[in-house]
Amino acid sequence: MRTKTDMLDVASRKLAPYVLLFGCYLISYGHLSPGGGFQGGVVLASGLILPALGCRKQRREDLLSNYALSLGETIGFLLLFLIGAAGIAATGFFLSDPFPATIRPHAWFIFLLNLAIGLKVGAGIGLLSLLIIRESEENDHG
Amino acid sequence: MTEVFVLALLCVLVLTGTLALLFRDLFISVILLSIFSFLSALLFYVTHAPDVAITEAAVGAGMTTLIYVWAVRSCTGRPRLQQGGIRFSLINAIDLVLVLSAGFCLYLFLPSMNGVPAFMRDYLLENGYAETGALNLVSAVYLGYRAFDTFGETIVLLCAVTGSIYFLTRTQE
Repeated sequence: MRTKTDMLDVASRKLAPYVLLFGCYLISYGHLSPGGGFQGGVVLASGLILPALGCRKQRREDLLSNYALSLGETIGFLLLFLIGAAGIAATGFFLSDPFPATIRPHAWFIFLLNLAIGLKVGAGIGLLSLLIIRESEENDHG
Repeated sequence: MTEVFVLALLCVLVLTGTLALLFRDLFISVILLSIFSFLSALLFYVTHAPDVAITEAAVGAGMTTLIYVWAVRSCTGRPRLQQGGIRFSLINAIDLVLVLSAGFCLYLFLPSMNGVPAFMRDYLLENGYAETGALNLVSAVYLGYRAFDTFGETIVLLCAVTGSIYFLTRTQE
């Protein structure tokens, strides 16, 4: 009854790598061009759930494990906290720039914060969406 | 030219929002709200706020639509299109009048925002790159000068995701 059409295949599988790439671009170039951790994280999450929307339950759980996503979110938050604590160690203030002002390129602090926030937001929103998809699927069958 | 485009876009936004309020089928309203978010993203981009445009397109049109579709579907069941059409009632009329008058008041008061003192903007333009190293001054503000706020936001997001996961996995047992 649920056959796979070309449209579904293109939207869910062929498009997802480009969405993921765009999310990585938004996160890693957030200090230079429009974008940043939050926006790139949400784009990463939508790139993660695009293939999940197009395939069956068993395949989806092989593809994306809830445990890895929750681990990613926790590691992202810990990284953010560690960067803040590095500020305490270097200058005495939480979340202040721990790098000396003379190094080039100069935006390491913002770049690292963007990476941590992107990992955290992407994993968290992706996990939430996956759980929502699974829950509505179980309501259909049950 | 830009002003004409912005004005036309604002009119279409009002039309889309009104239709989303009036349609009887909630799925049509959700899709109309998604269109509303895309048009708002276009509006933000045209008015030189690309950061907000990306956020609006990703969160407003993507994630919010997913959550709304799921919520409507869990409340009303599978999509049924035969009960479509537009409904008019007294409550709808009151809603429309309230929302439109609120928008009109905003339109009246927004031009007075031009009188905001400009020293903050000038300070950022002069010293933002030298102090944080970020060419994108928006991320210079929210990760450099206001990193505490961002840290609090991520804690709020962590709490929200944790609570949602708790409720979503509890109902499965």
